Parts: sequence; structure tokens; C-alpha cells
Amino acid sequence: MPDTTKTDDVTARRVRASLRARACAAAAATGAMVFAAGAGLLMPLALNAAWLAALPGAALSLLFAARAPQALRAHAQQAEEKRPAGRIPAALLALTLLGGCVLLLAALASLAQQSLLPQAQTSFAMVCSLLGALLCALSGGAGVCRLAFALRYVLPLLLLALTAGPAVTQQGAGLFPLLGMGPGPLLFSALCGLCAASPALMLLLPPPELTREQLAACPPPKAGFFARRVACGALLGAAMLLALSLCAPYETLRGLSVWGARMRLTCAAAPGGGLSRTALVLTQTAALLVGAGALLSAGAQALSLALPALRKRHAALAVCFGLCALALWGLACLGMRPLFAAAPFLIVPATIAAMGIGKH
Amino acid sequence: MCDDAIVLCGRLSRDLDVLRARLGAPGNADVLIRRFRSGAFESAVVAIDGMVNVTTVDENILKPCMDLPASAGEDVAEEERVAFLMAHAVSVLPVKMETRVDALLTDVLSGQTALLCEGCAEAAIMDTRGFDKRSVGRPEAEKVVLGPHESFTESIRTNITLLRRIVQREELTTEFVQAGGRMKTRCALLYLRGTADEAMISRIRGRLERCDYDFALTSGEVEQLIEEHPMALIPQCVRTERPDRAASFLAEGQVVVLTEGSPAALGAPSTIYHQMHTPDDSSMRWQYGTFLRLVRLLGVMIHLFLPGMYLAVLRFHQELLSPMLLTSVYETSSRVPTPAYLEALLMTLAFDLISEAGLRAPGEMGNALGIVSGLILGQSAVSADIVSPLLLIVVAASGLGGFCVPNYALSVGLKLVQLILLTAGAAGGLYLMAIVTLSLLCAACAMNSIGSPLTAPLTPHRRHSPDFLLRLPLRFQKARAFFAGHNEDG
Repeated sequence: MPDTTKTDDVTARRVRASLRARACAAAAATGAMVFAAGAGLLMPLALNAAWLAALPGAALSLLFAARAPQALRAHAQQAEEKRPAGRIPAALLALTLLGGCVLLLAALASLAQQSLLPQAQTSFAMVCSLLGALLCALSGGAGVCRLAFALRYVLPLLLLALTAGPAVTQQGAGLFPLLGMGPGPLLFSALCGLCAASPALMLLLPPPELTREQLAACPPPKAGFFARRVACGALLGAAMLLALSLCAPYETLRGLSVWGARMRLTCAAAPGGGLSRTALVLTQTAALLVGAGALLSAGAQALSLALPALRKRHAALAVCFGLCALALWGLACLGMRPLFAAAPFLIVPATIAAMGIGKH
Repeated sequence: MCDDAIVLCGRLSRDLDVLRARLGAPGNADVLIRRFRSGAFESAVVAIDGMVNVTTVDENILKPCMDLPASAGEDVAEEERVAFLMAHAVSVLPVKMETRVDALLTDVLSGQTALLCEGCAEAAIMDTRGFDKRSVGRPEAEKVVLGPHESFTESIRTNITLLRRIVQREELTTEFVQAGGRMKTRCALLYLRGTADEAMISRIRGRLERCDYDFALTSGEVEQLIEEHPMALIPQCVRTERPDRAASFLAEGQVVVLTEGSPAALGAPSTIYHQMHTPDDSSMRWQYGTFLRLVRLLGVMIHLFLPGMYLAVLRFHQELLSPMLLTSVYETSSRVPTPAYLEALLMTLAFDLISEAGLRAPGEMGNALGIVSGLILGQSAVSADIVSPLLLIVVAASGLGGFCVPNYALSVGLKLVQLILLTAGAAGGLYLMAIVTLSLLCAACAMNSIGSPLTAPLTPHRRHSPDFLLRLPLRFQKARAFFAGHNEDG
């Protein structure tokens, strides 16, 4: 009897550790999405108030994360995986996650091309980003989730340390919405920014390294366990937008048409500014890539739930990679406008998937 | 009617014929088969010349048996004859009784002696090993300043003894397993009963028994047969030639695998942090241990990233250098005819060539080779403007960092990672280096060592004592490693 109890304790701790890592990956992806969508979608509309417009998206991500315990319980209790009723939400979930992945990869490529590889073409940066996300996702999701857990303090502290210095020396004149474009564009941009909540949906899927028996043996943690972590990630994304708003004057933001240029902090001009700018860009790169890798692997997992034929090893991942490659190729040819036009509509499949996954 | 090829049948002549046929006697000159009269019945011993202690066989088996009176054993049942000799004549510690021909031959080939009797379908296998073996020496690859200076040898029995001298606990258990296909390698699994996880022990045992590779001689080959990621660049078990280190593995709940003929022990499961630890860390005060671990970590970072970063900054990120340094770098680089990437690759490979040659060159030549090659070749290359001096410094610093890795297998793996990062830095600057680094970290985080995550307890989180990255005071190290079976705190 004591041995069984001990085994249960060990299993419970391991399940919790896996869920914790998964929550950290979702937090990283949500924070990256809030920042990338904020710099790409919200800033042209709300300018310096983009950080404020990003907050509703962050709040929605908490609601999505709060559904995680119910979804995990349903997965553990599900007698038959192949119920047709569960496949449509899974397919919509896959679509949402892959859409988020494409957005992050495009943001990553744009940032890299503007800051680290100005002499290279955007397509080269896109190929590198996509291959990087694929390599991160090849481990089945466990690797990227564990990496996100390992970096859960390092990345935020680095980001805050590198942005706090330049940001605090600036005046806060551009922070208030009425001094920007006004309440109308602010509300509209907040609506568009709801799509940044979609990465939190990866919490509705169980960690792939856990078996059904392990999930069934241990009740999932409460909603706060997931929501707390996602909130930290989302707020960090919003804080990064706040730093950008402080560092880039009102007039400068208006003139920046390239997405990658808007994501750069431009005010660090002190000696060694080149080093700190590069370090900041590399930290942003790490956050975006971890987020993209987590979304790619979660999207593949959701696709394999929706289409049982893709449950063979890496088959779903190959399909997702192909879809992302196609989307990025289209963006390389047509520019980022189609992405900005389609991104706000991600909230539709996201909401349907959130309501559909986890129902008995 | 018995199947002579599989089990002994009790007819001494036929059994000996079977054994002669299997061993190739009389053509095989190493085979010793001696038939003799022991009391009222006939007996025979089978052994391999050079593997047994002939004196032990003569004095403790043959002589006492042959000295029995002619009527001894008359009333003993045929199937009890071997047991009778064990009880009344033979004074060697019997190991076991065996009826199967295959198992009997395996034991005889390992240096034991088989005793057969007329009418008895089982043989006694006695430990009479007496082959020459190397004495216990000093470790070659794991030198320490403080701490013991004993190392394992090629004899599995000696190695087990070295461990038992340190871990004098009744829970210490030794299991022998035959690994391999046709040429079976004798392996020993050592663990502390009650501390090591039972499921992990059976996993390792199962993998050893199931491996069908024809010939696994060294612990390195055994490691490759039991690990879960054979295509990975980093090893998943920790290898040591030090008994004290192996004893610490046992205390942590790991299983130690010894291989006959190999002077190294495998500790499994392990984490990547185990491969960066040295016994000196525990022998010294915690401040020195922590400091040295940080120095080692810095060395690894320099080894992995410095050459790639040099190329990345030179080709893509010149704004990171001050104007004065940039001018100096371009002045020296402009005189070099080869592209920077090729130059860096050649110098890195030359450094690896010199260190490999120094390792293989005999005796004192090996020590001198490194110094001569480095000084003469390096100086000449700079004077001839084949390489730039800054690159030489970068490669040398990177090479020194590589020597900080205590685990030789890991250091070779990290050399390959260094080359990958060098190529990434040349192709895509710091951006591609960041992508490659994160991909490799993801792969490492996903790897398991005999079912335990390789990067635990950092990620995924497991309860642990504060000794995996920094070496905090011993009084704070209260929990065993997370893979121990009975870890009250984990």
C-alpha cells in the first residue's frame, strides 16, 4: 500500500511538472503573440496606445487558459478518441494554432531582417525561422515546453533589464490614448488584438509525453495554475509594447511602415548601445521562436486529433510544416498585408474551438 | 534419451565428446579436459588453459578427488555424485550447478572450471579464475587534485571489489547479465536495493538482455546499445573510470554497469549536469567547488560560441565592434587570402588534429607534440599571412574551453556542436546561431536517459538537492537524485 501511494505521489508530481512546462510554453507563445500582434496590427491603428489596446487580448487569454482543467479531464476520461463530434473543434484548434504560428514566424523574420540581417532578403529570414520552429517542434512538443520552462525567468528578466534602461529615461507623453488617435481606433485595435489570446488554447491539449493513464490518475490543477502563467506571459508582452511606446516618439511611429522596424527599440544610443540592442533582439528572437515552436507542435497535435490518418510519427507535423511554408511563401510574395487582414479573424475559430474542446 | 547438444546426459564419455566438439578439441590447444578416477566412479574437469589458476585446480580439485579411497561414493546415487565430491573432496567455493551445455561453456570460457561425474547429468562450476590482469592504477582521463587516485581495471571482479570496499552496505546488489549475440559480454549491474528504482533496474536489465549486437566489448559499445537516442550528439549515460565516482552514483540511486574487459563504469540514468561534475567538486569546500563549476561552464560557452560569434560579427554585425578594433581586424584579415569561414574551419580542425595526434603519439612525444605544433605551426601560419592573429587567439581560447569538459565523450560531442555553430554564424550571423542553439536546446530537453529526462531537475522540474549546477554546502544536500526509488523528498 505505501508503495502504491508513493508511486501515485511520484506520478502526480511528474504530471504537474509536465503541465507546468506546457503552461510556460503557452505563456511564452501568448506573450510573443501579444507583442507581435501589437507591433504589427495595433500600432498602426493606436500608435502609442498599443499597449492599452493589447490588454483585452491578454484578458481573453486568461479565459481560454481557465478552460484547461475541464479539457484535460475530458481527454483523460474519453473512452474513444475518434468521436466525430470532437474532430471539428480539434481541426479549428489546429487552424488557430497554426495561424498564430505563421504570425509569429513572420514577425520573427521581419524583426531579424530589419535588425540582424539587413543585407539578407526577408525570404531567407523566413526560411531560417520556419526551419528553426520545425527543429524545435520535432521533439513532439516536450522539448520546446521544457525549454520554455527553463527560460521562464531568464527571458523576462533579460527583456525587462534591457528595455527598462532606455525606457525609464523617456517621457511618458505618448502613453495616453487621447493624445494618440482617439477612442475609436483604440477600440477597433483592441478588437483586432483579441487574436493574440489564441496561443493559450494550446493548454486545451494534454502534454504529449503523458499517457492517458497518467492523466486519469491525477486530477488536473485548478484553473489558476494555468491562468496565472498565461497572465504573466501576456502582461510581459504588453509591457514590451509599453517600452516600445515610450522609446519611439509619436511622430516616429507614424513613419515606421515595416513591422520589424516597429519591434525595435531605437533609443539606446549610449556607448555599448549596439551590444544591448543586439542582446535585446536576440532575446526577442528566442521568445518568438519558442512561441512559434510551441504553437507548431501543438497545432500538429490538434491536427492528429482531428485526422486520425495523420497519427503516424511526424505525419501531422509534416503537414503543418507544409501549410506554414505555403503561408510564409505567400507572405514573401504578397507582403504582410494579407496577414494583418486575416489575423483578427483568428478569434472566430479560436472561440469555437474553446467552446467545443472538452465537452462530453 | 536426452538432447546431447543442449543438456548434459550423464554419460561422461558422451558429454565430454559434446564439449570437445563444441570447443574444437583436440585441435584447439587451449582446451584442458582431464579424466580421472575419484573414489568409486569416474570424473572429469574441463577448463581453458591460461584462464584458470592451475595450482587451484590441481591442489583443490584434482588431488583431493584422486586421493579418495576406491570405495568412496559406492553407495551414493549416480545423480548425487557431483554433490558428494563437493561435500567430501573439493575445497573450492562452488559457484553453481549447471545442466545446460551452453551455459557450462560460457562459464568455462570465462575462466571457471567444470567438474563432471559419470552418471550425473549436472556439473559443478567452480571459480578458479587465475588469468593475468592489470593491477589497480591511477585514472588517466579523470585526474583530480584532491580525492582518491584509484581507477577501474579490465577485470569485472576487481572492479566490483573496488566498489564494495567503498560502499559497504548490505543493500549493494550485483547482478550478472550476458549482453550481446554470439560473443556474449559479461556485464554486472550494481545498485542499492531500496534506493534505486526497481522499474529503472528492470529497464536496464531488459535492454542488456535484448541487445542482439554480435560483439559488445567495451562499456562504450554497451552504452550505445542501451541508450534511447543513439543518433544524439551527447551521451545519455555518464562514464567514469573512478570507483569513488561510481560509488556516488550508487548513493544517488543510479545503476552502475560494469563490463568485463573495460576499465570504465557506466552510471545510468544520468543527467547532463552529471557529465560536467568532477570528484574534486565534492572533495573541496563548497565555495571552490561552485567557482570551479562556473569556470567550467564559462569554458564550455567559450568553446561552443566564440568561433561562431567571431565570424558572425565579422560578416554581419560589424557595428558591435569599436572602430579601432574593427580597423585592426580588417587590416589583418585583408592580408589573408582565404575566406574567413574557411580560415576558421581549417584552424579549428588543425587544433583538433593536434590534440588527437598528441593523444595517440607515444609517451613523451605526445606532450611535446602539442607545444611544438602550436608554437611552430601557429607562429608560422601568422607570419606567412595564412591566418589572422585574432582568429588564432579565438581558436586557441575556444580549444582551451573545450578541455574544461571533464567527460571525454561529451567534449567530442560539443566539438561537433561547435562546428555546427561556426557554420551557422558564417551563414546567418547571430540570428542563425540563436536559432540553431535553441533547436539544440529543445532537442536536449526532449531527450531521456533510461526513461528519465536528461535535463531534469532543471527542466522538467523535479525535487533535488542543490548540487546539480552549483555545489552548495553539504548540509543542504538532503535529497537524493530524483531518479532514486525511495526519495522521501522527491
